Parts: sequence; structure tokens; C-alpha cells
Amino acid sequence: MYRNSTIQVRVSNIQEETSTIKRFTLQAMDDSILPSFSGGSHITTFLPHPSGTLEKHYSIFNVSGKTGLFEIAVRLAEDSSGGSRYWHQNVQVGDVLPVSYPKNYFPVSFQAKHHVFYAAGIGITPFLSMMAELAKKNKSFELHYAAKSKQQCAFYDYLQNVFPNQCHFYFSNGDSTERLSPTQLLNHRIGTHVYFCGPESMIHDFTIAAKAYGYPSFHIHFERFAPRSIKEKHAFPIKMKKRDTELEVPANSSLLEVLLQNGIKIPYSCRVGGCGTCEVKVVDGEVIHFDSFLSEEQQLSNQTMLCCVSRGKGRLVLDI
Amino acid sequence: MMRRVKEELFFSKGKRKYLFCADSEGVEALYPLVRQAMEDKAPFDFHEIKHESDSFLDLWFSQQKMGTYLYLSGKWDFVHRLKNLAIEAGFTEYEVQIKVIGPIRKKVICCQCHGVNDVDEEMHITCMHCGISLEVSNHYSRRLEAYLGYSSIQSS
Repeated sequence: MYRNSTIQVRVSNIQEETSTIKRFTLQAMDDSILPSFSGGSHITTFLPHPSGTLEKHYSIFNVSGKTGLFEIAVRLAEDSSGGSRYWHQNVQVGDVLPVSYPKNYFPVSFQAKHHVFYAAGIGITPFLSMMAELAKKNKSFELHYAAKSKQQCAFYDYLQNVFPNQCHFYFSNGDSTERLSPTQLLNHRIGTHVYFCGPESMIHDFTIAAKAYGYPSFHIHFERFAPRSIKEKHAFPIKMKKRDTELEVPANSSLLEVLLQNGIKIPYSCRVGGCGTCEVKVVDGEVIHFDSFLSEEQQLSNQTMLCCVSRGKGRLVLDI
Repeated sequence: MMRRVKEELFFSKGKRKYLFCADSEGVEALYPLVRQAMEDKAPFDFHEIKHESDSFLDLWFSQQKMGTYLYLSGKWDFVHRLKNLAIEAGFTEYEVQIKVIGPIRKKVICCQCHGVNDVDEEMHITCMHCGISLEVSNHYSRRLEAYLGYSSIQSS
């Protein structure tokens, strides 16, 4: 679950997919093959940054047709914290950088009779590997993919060529008449699992709609790029029972950040409340949960929390 | 899904449609839920199953949309048959509740010899194949359609 070791990879190709999205092909240093991965997997990339190493997660796929490669697609974010800007402006073909082994917090359901993927913008990336896996296994699936325009729609030609019968495109500039809407969730047959990836508002709207139509949570899957936005964050004190130490978590920091800054080695991975790696036991106090990993029952128990996103409503005593 | 067979049915609110499905013995247990669906103005289908074929039921189940919730009520053989058809169509344990009227017959797999034992409601049995004492657990295997029986160490 928690692996420190990294793989050195070489950037073998950089392809401009749209004016803001670049695809990077990564290969093993000795021209051997990189580890295989399941649909929905991602890697963590470690980039040099003035404030230390930047850890960024990217879905991996392989549209190149050659085996044993990782490919990632990076959109240049307007408000980039350094990750996407570094990829776009500094990374060149031939560069070598460390990445993690593939991890998967967004796998396809093995029980589904039919899979429906909803992507917005760069949210397409996890679905590239998922659709490849399902196509190989001869499973039933469809994709609904929204972008600003055909020009801004990354992998449009690839998807049209490889999955001509499964893909539906929606362009907000008027190139298509239809708009992507959560009401489309009403059309899916029993046994369908739905998967959402895109901006926070899109994931929120589709998840809320699916639940309102009666979808069990078991059938709803999503992947976030960033933690859920929290309207108001308050500072809160914590006590670590095993160490008999107290710390303050400021309003603009997460509990995980404060623990790591104080030398407490908490295992972590996704940092968006989706994987469960950074779970800590709570002895006392009330938790405000912001994760999408714990069950409702676990959240209500007030005995556990994911320290990357969840916070205390006042003082918390933790079993660490 | 199998865990709940002897518990009381409850109304799972907020679904877009309900299917109520019973044999002649199971109909009555569904009435309070039908009333709830009516009060909630939720669409529902009510079917008392008599001689309908598997292919008809499979077609009926398969045509349902996501958000549909299924209640099965009746004798063991009836609910067992319909449950398997519903699962084949795509329903999962999160979309189905089952009420068994009368005796239940479940299979228990012996943890020692892997032999199959037929039990009804008893919690402690002696394996009919190897003779060890088994405690019937709630660990259910979909593949084997059976519960796991653990070796029970009884204090004398």
C-alpha cells in the first residue's frame, strides 16, 4: 500500500494534444518494459521545485500502441502550483525523472453489466486505460465526454478511431447541439456502474443526481484531481495520545501537513481524501469529514479520519 | 442480500421505481411497503408470480433502469430462483431486499473438508462428511452460494 521506491523513466516523446494539453511518453531507462497497470491507474511524479520536491499524480494510459510504456497527459493550469507549468515549460525529450509504481484508486467494477464514463476536459485521462481494458475483455461500455470545442477535445481523433461506437462528444462552443447533463443518468439500464472525472462542480452535480435517481453508492465511482473545496476552514488543536504532545492545525493547513512538518511519519498517498492511506484513529473530539473513502457509518462513528482532508470541530485527541 | 432473508423488510426511500415481486404466500408481507411507495408517489410495479417463465422474468428485470429497487417475498425456492434471475440481469445486493416465508435452506461449507451441508436456521451443526462441530458464520460466498462453517471449540 505504501511504497517509497521509485522508477527512473526517460521522456521519449512529447505530443501537443491541444493548445493546453501535452502528452508525455515515458519509457524505462534500459529500454525494458515498465510495469503493467490496470485501467484507472495513476503514477506520482516527483518534480524539482524551489520549495522542495513537487509530488503530482497523473493517470497513466498507453495510446501509442507500443507495450511497456507509461503515458500521461498534462493540462497547463492557469493557476498552476508548479506541476503543470514545469511539465509544459521545462520537461524535454530525453529528460530523466523519478516516478512511483502504478497505483489504482479508481478501478473498473468487476460486477458491472455495463460501464458509463462521464468526462469533462482533462478528466478523460483515467478513462483511456479503463476503456482499453474493457475493450480487451469484450465488456460493454460507453463514454460521454464534454470539452470546450473539437479543437480543445484531447484524444478526439484517437477515440473516434478506436471506439467509434461507444463515444459521445459534447462541445460547449456550439459544435454540437447536445450538452452533457446529469439527467442522462436516467437512461442507464440496471447493472450499470457510472464513473465521473472532471472539475469538482461536475463530479458534485453528477454524484448528487445519481443518488437522487436512486443509484446505490456502490455503483457510483469518481476521481478528484484536488481535495473537495471547503467553504470555511478553522484552526483546531490536536493532542497525540501516544506522544503526549499537542499541536495546532492552522486554518490554511491540513492535519497531514502539520503532522509531516513535525516529523511524524504518517503514510499518505492521494492527498485528496480518496485512498484511505492516511487514516488515523480518533480517541476523542468531533471530526468534520471531507473524504470520499470512509463509509457513512465509519464517518458517523467519530473514531477514525483521513488526515489529508478531514478536520476537527474543536480539539481532537488522536491515537498516534 | 442473503443476510437479510429473515429480517423484516424496510422501505428504502428515494428510489425512482420499486418492483414488488411475490408468490401467493409472500404477497401480504409487501403490502406495507406498497403503501409507503404510494404515499411517496413513487412509481411501482406489483407482480404476483404464478407460472411466468425465466425468460419473461429475465426480460422484465433487464429492461429496468438504474435507480430501480426490488423486493422479493415468498417461499425459499421462489425467492432463490428470482434472486438469481435479478442478479443475472444486473441487480446487486444494494438494490434488493428479500423476505423468506417459511423454512430457509442454506448451504454451509465445512472449513475442514469443504463438504456441503444443508441447514435451515440452526447456528451449530456437525459436518455430515467429516464429523467436526461447525459454527455457521455470516461469511457468504456468491460463487458457492453457501456460508462458511467454522470449526467450533465448545467448552465442556
